[in-house]
Amino acid sequence: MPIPNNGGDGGLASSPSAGAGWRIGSVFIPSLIAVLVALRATNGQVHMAGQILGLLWVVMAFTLWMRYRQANKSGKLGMPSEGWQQLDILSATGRATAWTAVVCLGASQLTGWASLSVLGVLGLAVVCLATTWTALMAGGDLPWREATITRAIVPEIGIEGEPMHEKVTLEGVRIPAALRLFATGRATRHGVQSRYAVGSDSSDAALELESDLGPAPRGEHHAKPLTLWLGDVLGLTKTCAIERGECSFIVTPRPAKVEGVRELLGDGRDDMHSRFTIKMPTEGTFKIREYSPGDDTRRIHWVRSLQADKLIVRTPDEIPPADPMVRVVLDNHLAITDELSCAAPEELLDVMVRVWLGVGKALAETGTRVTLVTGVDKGGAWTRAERPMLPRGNAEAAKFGARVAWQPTVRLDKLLDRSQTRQIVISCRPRQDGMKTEADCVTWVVVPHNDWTTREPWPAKVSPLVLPFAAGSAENRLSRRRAEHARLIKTYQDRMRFAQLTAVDWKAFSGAYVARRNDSGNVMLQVIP
Amino acid sequence: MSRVRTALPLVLTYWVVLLLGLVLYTAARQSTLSTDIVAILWAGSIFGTLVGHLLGLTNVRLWFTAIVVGGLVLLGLASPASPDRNVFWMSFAPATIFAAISVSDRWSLAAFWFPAMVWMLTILDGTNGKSTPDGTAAATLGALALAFVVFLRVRETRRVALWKTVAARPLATPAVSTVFKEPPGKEVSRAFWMLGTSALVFAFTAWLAPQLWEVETFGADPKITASNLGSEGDGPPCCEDLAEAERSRVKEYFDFGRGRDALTGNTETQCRQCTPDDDGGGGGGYAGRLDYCTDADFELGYCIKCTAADIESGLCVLCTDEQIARGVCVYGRWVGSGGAAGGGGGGGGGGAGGTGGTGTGGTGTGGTGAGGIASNNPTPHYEPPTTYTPPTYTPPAYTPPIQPEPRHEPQVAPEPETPPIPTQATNEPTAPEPQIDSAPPKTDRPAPSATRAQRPAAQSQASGLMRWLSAFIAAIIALQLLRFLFRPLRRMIHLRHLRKPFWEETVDQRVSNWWQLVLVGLRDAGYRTTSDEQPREFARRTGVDGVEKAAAILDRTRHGIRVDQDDLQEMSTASEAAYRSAREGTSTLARAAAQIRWPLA
Repeated sequence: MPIPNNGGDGGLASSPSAGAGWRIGSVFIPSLIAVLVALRATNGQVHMAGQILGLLWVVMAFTLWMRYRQANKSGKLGMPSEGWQQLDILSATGRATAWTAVVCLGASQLTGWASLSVLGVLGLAVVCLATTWTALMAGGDLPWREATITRAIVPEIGIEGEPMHEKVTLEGVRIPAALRLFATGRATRHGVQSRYAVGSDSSDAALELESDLGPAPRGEHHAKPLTLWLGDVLGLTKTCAIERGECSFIVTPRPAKVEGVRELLGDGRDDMHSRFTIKMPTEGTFKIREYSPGDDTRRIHWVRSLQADKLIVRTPDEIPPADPMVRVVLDNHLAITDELSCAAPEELLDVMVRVWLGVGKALAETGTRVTLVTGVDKGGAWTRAERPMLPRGNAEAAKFGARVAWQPTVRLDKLLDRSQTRQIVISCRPRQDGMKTEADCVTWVVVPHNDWTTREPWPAKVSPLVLPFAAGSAENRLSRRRAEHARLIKTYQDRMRFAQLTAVDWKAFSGAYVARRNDSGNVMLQVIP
Repeated sequence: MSRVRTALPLVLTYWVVLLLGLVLYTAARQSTLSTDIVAILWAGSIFGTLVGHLLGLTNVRLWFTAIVVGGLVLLGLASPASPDRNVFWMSFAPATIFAAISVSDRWSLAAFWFPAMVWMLTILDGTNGKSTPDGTAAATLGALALAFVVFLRVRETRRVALWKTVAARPLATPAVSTVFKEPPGKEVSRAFWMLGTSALVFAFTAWLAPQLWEVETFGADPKITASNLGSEGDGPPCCEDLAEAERSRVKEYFDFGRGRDALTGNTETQCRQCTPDDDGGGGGGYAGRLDYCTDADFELGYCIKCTAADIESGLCVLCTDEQIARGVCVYGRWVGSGGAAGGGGGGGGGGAGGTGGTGTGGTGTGGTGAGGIASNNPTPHYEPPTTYTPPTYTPPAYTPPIQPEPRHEPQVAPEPETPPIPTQATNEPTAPEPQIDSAPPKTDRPAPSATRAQRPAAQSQASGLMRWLSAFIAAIIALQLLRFLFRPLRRMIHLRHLRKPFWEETVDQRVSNWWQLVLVGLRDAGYRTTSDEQPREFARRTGVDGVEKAAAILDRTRHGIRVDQDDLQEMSTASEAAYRSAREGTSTLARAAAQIRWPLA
């Protein structure tokens, strides 16, 4: 189990080994330098100060050594470097304070200014005391021995776009005096990050932390555990982080309202209008329309009325309505989305699922028997799965929609049926990769990425005069700015890569349908010219 | 706006520490330091800190702040030179830079330098030129250490607030945190930690930091009198006065003030110990070791006074330790005094009464006539007295007040080939007339400028405002302590009212009071409820006897169901039982801690 290093300030995704030597060295070296310099001084008083500082250093080093041995012996987390993590105890502020103190002491010897010596002694003393205290009271697994940390995302089964909350329950976490508990985590891959800080007044208490995660993204989510650590109230030290509180939650999709769905039904799409066709004299044709007062009740088509949940009457000069059965297929075959750091793949898939369910629902409401088809994970393997779509009461379909994710295995032709059943394919990248996809019974609905996904920002230019974040925030640190800059560039490049993967050859798909957002926020199907 | 609100405690703490430092220094130096200097120090510090905080809180980068400040300083230094100008820019520049650093990330120790430096000016005033602060200075140093800890804590609180709200990627909106149960008596451990840490940091800094201070010496005012005699009397200057001319201090960024009346000794000029015994004599003929002269010696003329001018002009040549040790300076003599009243030599160097008048023996200084001073052109002469009866004299035990370093090249009085013949023989040595000018000799060092160290503040002068400040702080602490100590009483009265109201109350209110008592008892045991939690749910969660029954009656009251006297009686019984039952499960320490907890529920 990887233990991330939060640098005492949290939220920084640096690798555990990055700069570990420097961080651990900063615990011992500054105070040792001060001690050695003071001990070598000819001045008796300075020598005395060196002895006192040396005593403090020895106490601190002994405490840390004890924790190091203890962690290596227990090895509860099974990591060979666990002992070293016990030594990585100074936060960024603590390191800065320790080195500044040494510089102050050196400068005080050069200039003779008493204030510098006071600051040097203060800095080293506070760092040594805080380190000793933290190692003694919160080192090893002391804070977590009796701890029960649970995390829940509520509602456990939510609906896409509705507010989502995170509840973290802590019981029995020992937070010694002068320390704070920090916790941070991200419930979803591209979601917001939650951060908590709890004071020592909640030590061994039962408490619940809550934060608003914003609109719920569709999917079956497995939230990675929270990262927890303790830090002292002076901001100088931190303990090594642990991870607790994994949880799962489901967010079902919210079907979009799709306009113009009747267009997808081919010949039956204009069932409200008469159309010339050649039939045998005995076959007859029917036109159906909604019942209006004054119609002959004998013309009521009871089956269609039941299906449409309203009275339908037939007129004797029409062809039968659209095909009674439609398979709505969601093409979720795309291989490399896990490698992409941008949010566009998830956003596009969410829209595709919404359109997929929306089309199915709209068709079902017209009386068509709809079957939803896509590839889902079943027992660790991707396979084709089908679910019926009913006009109402579609909890099953919603759960089915929540399971949808990009998958690298089941190609589109595996999802399509060999029969001549009308099939509507919802895809972001229509392609002709098989006979079945070119069949006449297949109708394409293209969900273009550039209409439905947000563009990733290119790193903004940072003013050379003004800090990008509030003064005092750790986000202003050069290392973090560089990391963030690199992340944004990668995200932008991944977004470009995704755009290439989902590029549409519009000419080749003339006559297919494209799903666009209309002014009312609904999905509108338009024919590709 | 929220960011400014977040930064407010930090900025306020910084300002309080800085202003307190300035006030303390002003109070300590109000009568000795130039008012202009103090005002300029205030102006530079406050203006600089204001600018620094404004730039810092508007997220201006530090390098830009440094360039702006550097430019301003250069412009300012282009103006005509004056000590005031230097003080202003020397305070403005660091005040701006360090105020800007104080609201930045990580560099809290460095940011604390400027306020600490201002505090140090006051603290070093109490070191008496040595690296050991006296009681008040040590306490102030400890207070500075505590202020630093408070500053660190406030800064970290702000950092945590920023951490929770500022990030490159979006953050979740924090909602409420609910505590359901907490261990009772936790306040005690926190209080112990607070006290322990404060004491450690206080003691550590007050003890250790002075060990690293560096003492420097410097020229001081040419006319300084700290001895009892002051400028009165003749003869060589008092050692105290000369020592002041060599005052020392602990180095600091600002070089004004701070110098204290430390007697570091003067190794270049002979002086005399102006002990209280000397008052009557007012110095004396000094030839060698003055401390061997008693009042009687002066009265009898065995010791007479040399003036500083005498010493400078070579009329009085002083014995060195080495000469005294070798015994060659047991008796001194005048090498020339001239004048009518030339007194006998102050053979006090030897101490044994000497033969001042005779001037025999030794290479010490001697004198022959008190009137020598009056002569502008003295002619050395010597005439032995016709009769002389040495007085009975027992030399006092010698305790050198200051150990001057022995000279490498002892100044030896010129040995006249022939005994000088005094112009006027006297049977008894006559003391010379008191000299008007007995100021210590001027040193070659330049006179201190206005920004150089000033004369030490007198204790009474410094303590005026300091006493008021101390009294004010003590009053605040006492008030807080009193408020703290009154908490048990407050709790007792409150609980008494809940049980038996001091005034007439409705039945509903009485029921509510009893429920409040239950909540107090449960809080003592560590249980806490929220406004969302229904009483019965809370009762079920706690599982304490009597709570559920009390909650049921409370629910009935809240829903408007009639509650009669019996119900009230039942409520009181159940509530008391719940209160006792909840507290029974807690430790003595927790119960004691509950006495001082507020709010009660």
